[in-house]
Amino acid sequence: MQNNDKLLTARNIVKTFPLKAGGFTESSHRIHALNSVSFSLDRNSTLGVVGESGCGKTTLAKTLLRIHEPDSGSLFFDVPQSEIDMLDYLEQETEPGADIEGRELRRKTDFFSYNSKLLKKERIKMQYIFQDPYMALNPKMTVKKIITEPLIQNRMISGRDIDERAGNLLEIVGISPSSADKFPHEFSGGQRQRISIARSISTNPELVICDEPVSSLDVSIQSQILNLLIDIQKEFGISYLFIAHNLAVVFYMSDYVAVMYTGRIVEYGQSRELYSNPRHPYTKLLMNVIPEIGSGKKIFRMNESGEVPGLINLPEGCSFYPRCSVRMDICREMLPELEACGNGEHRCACHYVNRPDN
Amino acid sequence: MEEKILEVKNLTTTFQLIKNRITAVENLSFHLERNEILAVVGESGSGKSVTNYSIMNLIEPPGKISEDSQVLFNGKNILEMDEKETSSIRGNRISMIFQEPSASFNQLFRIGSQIGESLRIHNKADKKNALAEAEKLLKDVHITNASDRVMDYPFQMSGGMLQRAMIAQALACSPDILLADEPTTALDVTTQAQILSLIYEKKEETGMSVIFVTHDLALVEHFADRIIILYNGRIMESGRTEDIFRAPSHPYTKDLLKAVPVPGIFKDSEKLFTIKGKVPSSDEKIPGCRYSPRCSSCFERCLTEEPELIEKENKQVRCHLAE
Repeated sequence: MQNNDKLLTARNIVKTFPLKAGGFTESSHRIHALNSVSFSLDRNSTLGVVGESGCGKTTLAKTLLRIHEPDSGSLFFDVPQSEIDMLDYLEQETEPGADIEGRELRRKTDFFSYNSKLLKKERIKMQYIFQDPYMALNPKMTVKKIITEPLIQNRMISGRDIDERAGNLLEIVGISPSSADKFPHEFSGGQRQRISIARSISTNPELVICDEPVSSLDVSIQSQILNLLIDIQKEFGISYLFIAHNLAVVFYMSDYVAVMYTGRIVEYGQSRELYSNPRHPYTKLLMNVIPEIGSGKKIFRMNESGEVPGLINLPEGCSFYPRCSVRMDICREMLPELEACGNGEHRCACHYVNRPDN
Repeated sequence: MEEKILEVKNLTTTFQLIKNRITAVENLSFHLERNEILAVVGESGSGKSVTNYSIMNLIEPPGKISEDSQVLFNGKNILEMDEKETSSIRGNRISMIFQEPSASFNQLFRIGSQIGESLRIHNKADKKNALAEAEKLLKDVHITNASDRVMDYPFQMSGGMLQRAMIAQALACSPDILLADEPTTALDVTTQAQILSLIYEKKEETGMSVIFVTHDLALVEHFADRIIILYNGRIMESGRTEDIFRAPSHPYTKDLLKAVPVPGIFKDSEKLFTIKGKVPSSDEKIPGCRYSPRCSSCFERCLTEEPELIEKENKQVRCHLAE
């Protein structure tokens, strides 16, 4: 596989959840958790995803893994670019037979169209680290069992190699291999998160999704875990999808950052570019309210008002309209598209930023 | 200004368990002035919440506040009062807000009646007046449509709105002291900023004092007047906020300040500073200085002899190096 290929290309992912109406009936209303999310991720790099709670960060992560089945959209994961191009060509071609060929190819390339057998095989390359290391580890299993379970489940290891592999994994994450037979409750929060990390890298994955991996840890432990994640990336060439609400952490960890609001990406760009030149009013708001030592920023002097719109009846226009400081009439009527702004791949979905005279 | 509204002296709170005895806080002494915000900063197991509950005398068995501890509110020891007297202070002169707003309201009663409850108890207001007052209080914490919202049940409100309602409830009897136990930890960063603004505004308006418990040092830099840094049940450093941030004396404070990533550094240019080791649990017995196993400037004396809390340059520090 060529190195300049993208590891992951997501196109127009839509995910809605039915709203329970009570009894056996399903309400016609739906919660629009993800509204046409597209992005791509290079090999050996990190995409950070930030946003408030309820903006769809975790839904995105779980939809990528097909823990939630998406409503529509496609995901090309570890597929050569040539095959994606071929698929695009076949699906546009009107020649007889092209549509059948196209469907055939889609079943082989689109992660969302895989059958269960192929899904199981490919999903080994995608692993997950959860926010709460207390909930994520089975209290009845020994550490050795926890971290080698993915290997055993997928028949990737023979019985006599288990001890060696477990010791090896524990060493990578900085836990003494002699603790392999201990139980999760014998470890502190930081150490448990290390065990979660060991489990996530056990199958040599291409992508690890980190869902708020440090938010539930003590301040003095957080940087240990972040450094560990970076060291592992350097050594094994893993890509991360790094979800967090703390901008400082996301900027530090990521090569690219996507800012999400009500299930849409509103700004996307290289970490450095986004930090030094944020464009979307929502990104600016987030940067303003995050407490930072030595910044002189007084977050308790903020006059921010307005509520996040509900995800059931999304407004026709920009969903940030009620809270926006630079809103215009057009924002209420028309949904802004992600358009190029600033340097490199910097893109922003805002009528104000992308207005012609700007 | 220099008036002490609350004085805590030698507070020791222990929990007697079957196997062992946990000392959550030991010999804690500090005071709170009128109209100031005092931040109590610490990691998990440092004893910050226990301190708050001890002030309210809300420690239940197996927990025990030792005999020689004193919590003087306007010169009177809360710990020696009888149940009737403490009840007249709780929710009235000293009130409390908690971390998880949705867990702190009763889901079966309307917001309005829950806010008005303390008025009915302490001010003997009747139901109608209490509800009218609740509506006014909700308006004061910037909830739009307050007249409709008083009839809401807690599940109908968002997390940020509930936290505002809880503040309204705590402020109902215009207390002298507000104890805030990680009030923003469960909230979004944007909502966190709103809640902090609200607490600050109410403090300016009413002249109350606030004890603000948090694990996030960055949050209180410009917010608090004074800071107490707790570690494993001990005060490690305390002083005016500017002094602590400008010239931290204790290695733990210094390390904490460095360990928080600031925006503008990236993984390809800098490695994050880490504090070695792990946060001790409160039942761990550490000989000598509590921070010595993790301290980078630890020397022989630290391992055997625990330093005293000493006065140094307007601050209190517990470190042999500062002596």
